[in-house]
This record gives sequence, structure tokens and C-alpha cells, in this order.
Amino acid sequence: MKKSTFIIIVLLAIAVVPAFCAAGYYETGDQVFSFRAGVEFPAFLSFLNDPSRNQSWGEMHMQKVGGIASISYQGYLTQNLALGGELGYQFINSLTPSLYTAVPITAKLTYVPVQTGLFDLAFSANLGFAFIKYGEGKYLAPYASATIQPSFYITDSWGIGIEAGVMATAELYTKSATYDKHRNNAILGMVPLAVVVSYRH
Amino acid sequence: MKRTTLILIPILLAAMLLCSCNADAQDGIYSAIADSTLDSGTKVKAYLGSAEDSHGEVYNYVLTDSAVIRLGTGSGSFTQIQSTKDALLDEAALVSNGSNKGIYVTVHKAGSSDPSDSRLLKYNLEGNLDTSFGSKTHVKWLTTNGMYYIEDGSEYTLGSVSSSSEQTLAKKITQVFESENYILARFEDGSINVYLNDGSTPAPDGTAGIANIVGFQVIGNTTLEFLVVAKSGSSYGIHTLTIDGTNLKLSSDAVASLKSSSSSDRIQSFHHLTGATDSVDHVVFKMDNYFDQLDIAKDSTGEPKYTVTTLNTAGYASKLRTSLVVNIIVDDVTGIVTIATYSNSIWQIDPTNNIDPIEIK
Repeated sequence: MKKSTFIIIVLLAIAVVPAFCAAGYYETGDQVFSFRAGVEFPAFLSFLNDPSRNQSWGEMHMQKVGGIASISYQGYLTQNLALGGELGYQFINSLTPSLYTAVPITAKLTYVPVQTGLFDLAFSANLGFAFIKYGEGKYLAPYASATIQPSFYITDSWGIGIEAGVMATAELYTKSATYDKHRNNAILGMVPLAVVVSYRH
Repeated sequence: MKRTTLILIPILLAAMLLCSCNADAQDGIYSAIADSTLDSGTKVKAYLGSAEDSHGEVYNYVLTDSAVIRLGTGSGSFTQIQSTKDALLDEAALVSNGSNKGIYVTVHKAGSSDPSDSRLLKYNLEGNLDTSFGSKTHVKWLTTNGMYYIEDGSEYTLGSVSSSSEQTLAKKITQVFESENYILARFEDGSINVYLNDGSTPAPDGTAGIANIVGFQVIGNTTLEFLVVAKSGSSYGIHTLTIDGTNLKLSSDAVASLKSSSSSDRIQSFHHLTGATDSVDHVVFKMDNYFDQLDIAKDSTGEPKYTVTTLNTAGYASKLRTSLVVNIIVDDVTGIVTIATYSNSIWQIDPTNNIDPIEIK
């Protein structure tokens, strides 16, 4: 391990470890606005009724990387638990000239077990819908994500963090009289890696 | 208002939103992505067929958006027939044998609306202009199977490049479809007729037509029979077209309807049998996102029974599912089907099994 890497880890540990012993920073009613921008990597495409067509990282018919952006607002229900909503935009190119896009609109629940005022470690779960579009096809899909986000607060109000996790969008059909659409039932999994700028109040 | 009502209303609204947004989303977005094929970089307008050049080597000839190109691994030379400002390529046809062997192209002059600038030219199989052919002018179109149409004032001429025959028509052709060695012409008065690509007319009298034709397919192994696909609203009705004496007889009602949709005004199709002993005719139609297959079997009384299914098998039905197919050519001898796509290359398939198609390079 390089010396510089070791020093960074030690400094992070010094900043983070006391947080597990510290009293909570947030109070019920506190609010957080977040702006997120980054990249997404296609992780898997699973066909629920036709596993032979499953594709995983490296074999998916998409470019290796796409983009994401979102804004969110949350209010603290308790010292550790915040609830709010998030509006996002995701895009990635396929092998064809058509662009795949998704606009997730979700409820966001965040658990913040570590909060020092300087450093937060947050686990979030989003649940809602995403308007997805590819070529001429449009679909309102169920959407869920689970992410982890360490953040450092540069001032009392402004913080910056990194978010990673997994986002899943499902395309689910009932059986049709004209065509067995069950074959198209699928879940797309993406891994986001984003920078999050937060403002708390 | 009761609390339960307050809870139920947003749930109901969300369900209605979900249903309305997904009402027409039946083609599977993730399925389309999984089945998408890499853009080949070459924009194919038509696969013309294969032919043996003067050195005895067999090549495939293709019309792209800018040239007629030749594909193959032989050592013979070939000069690409390029589009130029004075001769922009429109259509092409290949005559692979006989005295009229060669590549025929229709061209027009950029920016010109003078019909005399729309010409039919002939090249040999090495890509050199055949000056002895000269050129025909006022050419409206040339089909891949070698029929051309000239409209000079009120004179209408239908010709064949393979037989050099020409016939004068009494009416103007407004629409043309081709299938294997046949074309279906729709005239200005709405009537239709079929022609063999040597210029002969199986049914000299034609018939009353049908509106909104989007597909044409020859079937019939012992007797001449055709299918015509007509669009009505969002439905694609399949009609039979048979020869009754010297007249064409078009079924007034559709015998079946396609299941998938198409945004094209021209549905490509091919006909095959499952095997040598199989008496069931299969006609496969390429729709936007699926291949629909019409099976024609005989019921216990000997009457034809028509069934349409959307193919969801492996092989070409999956691999070329979302590709834009520009034309399909069936080899009469081998039964091999060549499917040309606009941006996803050209593929040969054996329609009787589900193996992956083979790319022509």
C-alpha cells in the first residue's frame, strides 16, 4: 500500500470513528436538499420468465457507462430517519442509435446511523416509479434503489459526498391474449457512482 | 371523507396512471435492448442477390445508400458503382444469368425534377458501365427482381430487365410491391394486377383492388396464389389473391390479421415450408419489433385454416427482432432466406430451424 493511501485512510478513520460514539446531530424537523450527478454502470438484465436471455456486466447490449442526475428533499422524522422524495434522470446508450432514458420519481427513506455534524454516513432506500423510454417504446416502470452515502460537511450547511449502490427498474406484463408478454418481464440493474452536494437546514 | 377513502383514492389514481401509460407498451423495452444488434456502419437499401463473375467466383451484390458494392472473398476485381451528383442511385436489380446478365440501376440528377433525368443504366458484374445498353429515361422505379416502369407523359410502360420485354399499360401505376419473381401493381383507379418478372401477366384482366396495401407475398406451390396485407386502422388484414381463369380474385374479407404493429408502409415477408414433407405453408412477416408468422393448414374438410402467431423463438426471430428489414430474398433451390437490414448487416437464415443467422460479409 502506498504511503499516501495509508495516510488518507488514517485521517478518514480519525474523522469517522468518533462519530460512532458521538451524540446525534440531527433533530426531528431538520431538512436536507441534495443534488446528485454522476455515472451509472449497467450491471444486469434479468428476464424473469426466460433466464436464457439474461445478460450480466460485460455482455449487456448497452454502452459501458451512462449518466445520472437527481434532486431530492427530505425531512427528519426522528434523529436518524429522514423521509422525502427524489426526482432523477438517467441515460445510457444501447448498441443502436436509440438512447435509453429513465425518469425516476420516488419516495426516499434515509437512515443515518453516523452523524457528527462534520461527517454523515447514510443508507437510503428509494421506492417509486420511473418513466422509461427506448426508441418508440415507453413504459411506466416500478423502480427501487438502495444506496450508501458518506458525506463531509464543509460548512454547517453545505456538504459533499459520494453515493454508490444499486438501482433496479422492472418491466412487468400480464399475460396478453395476443402475445405472451411474460417473455418480456425483466429487471434492469444499474450501479450508480455519483457526487452528492447537500444543503441542510 | 373517511380515512380509508382518502387512502384508496391515491392508490386508484396511481393504478390508473400505470395502466394508461403502459397501454401501448407491449413490445418490451428491455427485450428490445437485449435483442438489439450492433450498427454495421453500412446503410443497406437492398440485397440484390448473388452471381458468378467472369472468373467463376460467386459474390453477393448489395445496394447501399451511396453505392452498389460486392461482398465476397474472391480475387476478381470490382469497381463500386458510386452515387454521383449527376447520377444519384435510387434502385438496383441483379440479373445473375442469361444474356442480360448484369447490374441494373436507376439514377436521377441531384436537384432536377425533369423526368428525362431519371434513367435506367446497366453495368456488368465487374462494375463497369455497359455502354451498349444505352439508357432508358423517364424511369419511375426498378424493383429488386428486375421490373421497371416508365412514365412518359400519358404513356406508361412496364419492362423486364431479364427478358428485355416491354408492354404498354392503359393506366398509370401508383404503387408497386414485389415478392420473389412477382410484382403487384396498383393502378390509379385502385385496381391491381400481378406480373411475373419476365414481363408476362398471369392474370391479364386484373381485378378490383383494395385500399392501403402494405404487403404482398406469393405462396402456392402448385397453383399460383398470393397474399395481400392491407392496413385498416391499427389492424393488418391478410387477404388471399388467387387466379380464377384469367381474373384475379381478391378475398373481400381478411382471412387473418397480423398481431404485431408496423410503422412502415411496406411490410417485408417470406414464404417457406417447415420441411420437405410438410404441407403447411408458413409466411413470415417482419413487423417493427417482431416476426409474425401465418400458418396455412388444411382442416378436416380440406378448407384452408389460417393461424397467426408472433414468433418468440431463438435464432433469427430473436436476433433480428428489432432490426429494420429492407428486403428479403429466398433461394428457390436451397430454401435459404437472405434478410437485409438497413443498419444491422445482411443475414442468411434457414427458416426451418432456430439457429442463429449467418452474416454475409
